[in-house]
Amino acid sequence: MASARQQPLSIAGFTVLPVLYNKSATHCIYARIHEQAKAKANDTLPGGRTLFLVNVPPDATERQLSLFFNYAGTVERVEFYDDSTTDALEEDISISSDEDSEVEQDVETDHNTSQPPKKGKKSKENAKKRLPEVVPLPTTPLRTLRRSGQTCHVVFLDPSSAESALASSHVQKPRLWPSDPEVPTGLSHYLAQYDAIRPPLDVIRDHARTATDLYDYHREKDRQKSKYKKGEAIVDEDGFTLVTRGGAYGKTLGGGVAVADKKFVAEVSKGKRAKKKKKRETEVFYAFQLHEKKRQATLDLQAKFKQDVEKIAAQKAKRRFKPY
Amino acid sequence: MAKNLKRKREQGATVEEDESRGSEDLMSVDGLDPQGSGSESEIGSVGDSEEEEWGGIGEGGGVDLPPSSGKHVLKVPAGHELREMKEASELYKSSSFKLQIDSLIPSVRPRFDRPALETFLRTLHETISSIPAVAPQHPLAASRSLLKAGVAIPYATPLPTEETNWKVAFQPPSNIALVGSWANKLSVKPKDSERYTVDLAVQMPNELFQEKDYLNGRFFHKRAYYLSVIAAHIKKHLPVDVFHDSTNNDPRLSSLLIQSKEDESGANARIRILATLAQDSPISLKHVDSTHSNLRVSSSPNDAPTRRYNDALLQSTSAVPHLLSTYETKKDVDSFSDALALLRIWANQRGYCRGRDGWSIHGFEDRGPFWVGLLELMVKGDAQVKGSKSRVKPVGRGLSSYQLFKATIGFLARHDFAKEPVYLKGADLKHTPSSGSEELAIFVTASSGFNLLSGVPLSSLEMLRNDARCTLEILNHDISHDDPFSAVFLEDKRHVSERFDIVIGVDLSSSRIKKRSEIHELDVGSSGEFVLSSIASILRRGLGNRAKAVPILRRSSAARELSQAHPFTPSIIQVGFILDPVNAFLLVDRGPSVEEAEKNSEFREFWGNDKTELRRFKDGRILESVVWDVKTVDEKAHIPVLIAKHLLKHHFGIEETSVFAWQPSFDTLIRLPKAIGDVHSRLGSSVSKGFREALFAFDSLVKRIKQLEDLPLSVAAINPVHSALRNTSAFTPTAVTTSASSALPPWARYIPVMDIIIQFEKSPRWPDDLAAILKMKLAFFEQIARSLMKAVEGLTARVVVDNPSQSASFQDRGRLEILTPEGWAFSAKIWHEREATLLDRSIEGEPNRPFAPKLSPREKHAAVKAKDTYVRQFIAAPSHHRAVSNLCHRYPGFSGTVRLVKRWLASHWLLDVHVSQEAVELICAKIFIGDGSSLSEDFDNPKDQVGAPVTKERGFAVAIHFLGNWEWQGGLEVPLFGKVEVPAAQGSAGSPGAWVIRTSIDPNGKMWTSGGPDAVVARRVTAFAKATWDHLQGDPYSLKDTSILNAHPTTEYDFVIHLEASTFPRSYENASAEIRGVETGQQIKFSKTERRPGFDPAWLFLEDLRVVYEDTAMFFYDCFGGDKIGGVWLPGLRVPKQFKVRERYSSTPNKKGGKKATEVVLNEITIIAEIERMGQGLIKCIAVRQK
Repeated sequence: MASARQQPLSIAGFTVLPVLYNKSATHCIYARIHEQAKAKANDTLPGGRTLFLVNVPPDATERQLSLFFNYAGTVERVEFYDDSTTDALEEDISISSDEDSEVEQDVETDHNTSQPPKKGKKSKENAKKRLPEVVPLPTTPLRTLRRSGQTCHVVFLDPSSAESALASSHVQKPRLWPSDPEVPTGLSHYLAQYDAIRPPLDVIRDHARTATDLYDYHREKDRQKSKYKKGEAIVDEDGFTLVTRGGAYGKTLGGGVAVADKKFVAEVSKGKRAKKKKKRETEVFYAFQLHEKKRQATLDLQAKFKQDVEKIAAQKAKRRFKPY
Repeated sequence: MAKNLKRKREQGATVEEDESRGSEDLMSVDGLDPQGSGSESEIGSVGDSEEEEWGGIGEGGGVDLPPSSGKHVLKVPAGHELREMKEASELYKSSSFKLQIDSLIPSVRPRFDRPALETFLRTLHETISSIPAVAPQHPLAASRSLLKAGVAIPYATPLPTEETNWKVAFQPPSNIALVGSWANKLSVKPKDSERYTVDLAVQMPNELFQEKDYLNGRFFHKRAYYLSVIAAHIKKHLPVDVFHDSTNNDPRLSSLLIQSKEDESGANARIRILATLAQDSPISLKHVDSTHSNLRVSSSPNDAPTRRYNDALLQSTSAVPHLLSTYETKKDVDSFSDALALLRIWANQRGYCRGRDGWSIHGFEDRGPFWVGLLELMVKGDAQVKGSKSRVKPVGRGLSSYQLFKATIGFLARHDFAKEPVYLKGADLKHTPSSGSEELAIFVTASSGFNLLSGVPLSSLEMLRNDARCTLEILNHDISHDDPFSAVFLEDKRHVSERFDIVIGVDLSSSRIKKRSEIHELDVGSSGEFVLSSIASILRRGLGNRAKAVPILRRSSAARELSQAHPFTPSIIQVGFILDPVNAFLLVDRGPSVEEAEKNSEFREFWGNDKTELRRFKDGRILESVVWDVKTVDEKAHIPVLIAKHLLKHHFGIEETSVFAWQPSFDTLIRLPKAIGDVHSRLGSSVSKGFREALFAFDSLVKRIKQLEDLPLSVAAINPVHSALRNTSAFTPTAVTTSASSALPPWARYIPVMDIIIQFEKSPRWPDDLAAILKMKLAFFEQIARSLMKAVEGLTARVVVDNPSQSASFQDRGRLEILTPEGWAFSAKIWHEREATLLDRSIEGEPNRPFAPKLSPREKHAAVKAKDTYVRQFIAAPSHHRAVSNLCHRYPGFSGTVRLVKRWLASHWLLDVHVSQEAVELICAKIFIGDGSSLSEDFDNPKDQVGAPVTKERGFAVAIHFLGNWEWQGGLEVPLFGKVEVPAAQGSAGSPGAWVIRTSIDPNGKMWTSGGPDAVVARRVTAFAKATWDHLQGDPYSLKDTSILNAHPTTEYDFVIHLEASTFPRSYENASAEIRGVETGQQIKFSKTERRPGFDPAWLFLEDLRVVYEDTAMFFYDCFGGDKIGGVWLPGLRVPKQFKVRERYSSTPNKKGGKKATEVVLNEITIIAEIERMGQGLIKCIAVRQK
């Protein structure tokens, strides 16, 4: 392990944590104490006791990382960052979360606490207005493979652990990468995955039904909400009000004169409409025009010919005209 | 010389008058006066430099525009320039075509001024003139005495014997003249960088001959002796190499070839000495017309005319008249020499010539006069013959070289030499068409007086016609994108594998001809040639309308040492088949009706008594017929070969082991291994197999789904979108029933899944939200699955939600997996049109809906991706599927071609990994439909598929050739759905794919290639295709072993992951024999009852690797049960780089940089270790290439 000792302890502000895969392979994780960003208010990571890791093994699980940092202290949680896999499950369960951020919050709290939403409108159908609960598709503890070179945050229970994790005395010697027997790898992983993505039909049915119910709930709510927003018309620079179809809301926004043609709307939005009419002139009227036209034809011919000559010259340069 | 200059001026004047004159750089005038009597000075004039530029032709022409005024900045072209341009675009195909022709012609024309050659010709003339006369002596005695000088006399059969009472002698020639193309300056560069040939006619003095010398080859013996004396003398006195040479291996057409020992000063020419006969010789030429028999054979009582013998004799008188008439024509028609050059390049590229390397079409050696005659026919028209229906009308003399060439090709494409002889205007008509069974092509010009096509088999001429048709097709087409010029003139088209639907190699060494005819054999010239011409005619008859042409291909005859008297006929020939797609694979050959006894016995004799039988047909006729029994569809494609094999055995005693066809080995490539087939056949008829069965299974599934009553919406349509349902999956689809999967070894239990798309009736009840639609689909799947399982016993249906842990609400991840009781697996998706609109809204935003949610860039990106998938999956795929399955019905060879190409790409670890199956299908479609003009025509009228391959072997070869030469930077237009408009602006290079395959519904051309191949892989494809193409060029012996085709070199990969392939359910598809042999192995724990359709762990592992190491390495894998995964580090990663947080590869600090270094480098060892860890149970070992 002499070679490992010669490794630089830090690189661009990151401490290098050598990880031993096997006798010959030493992986490097780059680690730094996480600094809480001031700009981002919703940074949920506590400063001080959080480590920012770069180049985490692609198949790493939370458990493996906890085990790995056992020498420093107890790991509270691990957050992986990978473009395709962030905020994985929640978003899937909360249907059409992009409609309204408030509602999204609702769903999540609802999902977690199983309490009826407070925001539901008190009306006759109050009972029905309860936010439906979505039955999630079953998830099996499968290993998630992330892209190589991924980053993650490891939150320790107390700040001293984070510091001691980077202490040179611990970092000097490569540590063995722990294994996670709970989640399968390799062939058994694929077998488990194959079965996992084929859930029982009952689960599918319940999931689909509840998800659609949730959608209906949101739609109903939006419909009610949209009443209050009525009258905000689209007015262009000239002061004309554009009347469009209602689309998803089922209602016309703005005034109610007539319904604009969909094509018209599209054209206006692309600015095509303005220059539609163009007067056609008689092209060959005066004698000089005729001459010009003929001359142009000749010049075109010449240009094309020249172009061809150049093309052939290029081919010739490539020695293309030797048939054999 | 003054005379020459004067003529030049005259010709220049005529040119000025002639407005429609062709190209400017035409060879100007002739130096050689053909009337000359062959004196030394005439020879000397050959090399005069005549290639001066004529300044200012056309300057006096009257097309000048009025001089442009000073106001105009752009210069209007001068009159002559304008005329040139106009001509280029009107008289030629297009101006670029004209310019291409102009550039081509100089590169095939020799320099005619060669002082060294002139000097040599003068010396040669002196030497030959000074040969002392030799007193008459007995031919055999003469032969013995010359043999001492190392020269064997090429006496033709019938050989002279001791009893012959005539003598051979030598006297100095009465005349020596330059003849042929060199003298007329019409020489065209020969194929395979052979030297230019300068023909020298040495006229034998009349005193040597007697009137009766036309009999029994006496003339040929005397001439052979004459040539041998010259050869012996030259060999002794001049420092040159002298060879015997026999055109078409016919000893009667012998000549001498002289070439300097080392080719000094790049003369690149050789001299052929032809011994000719004077027109006024004592030999009675009226006895050698086509009706006389001049060979006296004891065994033959009736005197069949010895046509080839007579023609060979007449040929010796024709050299000078031919020279003169060619000269006249050349003088008359300006574009003659260019047109001839074009025609000869065209013919040379197709093997109608001698050639060292390629296979030449039988019978077309040294047929210069024929090509000249063709052009003369175009210019002059043909003679009036009684009873001839079609006449060739002369074309205008002012045509451009291209027009003349095209007219000739048009004639060749239309004319059937088997039915109509051709007599040029002015030819004597004594060569009346032969009566009786003898079929013969006849082409007589005015100057020759003999049949220029003597000895050319009809099958070769049919090949010529087929080639002309293909060329005409190319020339007639719109030239906007494909380059017709190189296809016609620049590409070597002799490659047999690409040219013929079927090629068989035949070893003639064991042939014993069954029906001998001495007189015919003698007429042909040698027994070897007789076998060849008999094979040609028998195969032509036997294949009948199954084939358009069945030419014999052979190596060209080569010049031989003087000590070798007779030409050596190589025993290996090839026979190429151009099949007629309609008739080629019929099971029954119908013969004459039972009443016609005479024809009947003839038919039986032809096919052999044990092969023919009487059959009653549906229309009530009872016919003698031959039935070819085949068992499978694959074997049906072998019928033409079966016929050829049978006929060769029946008539020539050639055993089947001497006939090599490479078809069967190609069949095995796309067939399941035998061990698996055995298991299936043991299970008996319960196993359904084949494309038709797959489609049938699909249809019955559609019926079942449509019959379901408890669905909330009724099913409007179900479309197949899988290659197995359009006849193009590499392997024949096979159902795997429960009993089969328990009987099969675990490495063969893979159940392929076929994709289908369900479309429901339109309904307003669908939610108007993407995520909700997807959930709705899940609900539908669930409902269909439940109802189907209730309705059909034994059917299992499961809803699959791919990647449930992944987010992105836009992705359509659900599908329905159905496994029918018959053992077919389907995967269904639901197509809902509203999705497209919703996705568009998410991407473009909704300017008119103020409350529409704003999407984050990442969500937008996901929406774009989802839209892409949507378009590909639900819009492009079904129309692609329909078009491709149409092609399969239209072209019998298409399906097999696609399957072979897929197999080939897979075996090079590219298919599916980098090249999508649809892209392969499109490329193959391009090969078959060309510019798509035949697609629009009547479906039942396939006569226009001139160039389309009929067999998969040829299709494969064409595809490989195409891939090897495709300049993919320029893209490819496939008019599968109609004409493709090439967009003016090239699409942005947004996707990594390098190939651009445009169709009219996909003008950007990235629909099926956006995922690859990227430029690196595309170059790999090119390299592999080139290597395979080279392999295909091998001789018929090595062609048999196609396993070499698929031997994939693994040395180029940085690391190779060896998989535990013996345990994977898909391993049986692998081509390599070691896997096929695996019967036992470490067995994986598959439960006996549970079957997993589409479960392919190696593929899943590969996909994970590709995602995880997207920015680290590229992976390659054979999707058909490969046992290795190849990996290549991405370029640039192995160089140390500055450390960055967002770097997407595993790195380690650069050790060489010292403590303070901030550079990192790719950590290869750990990545390999990671892969090993992730692939536990899948990987045997990983081999890393040593640097």
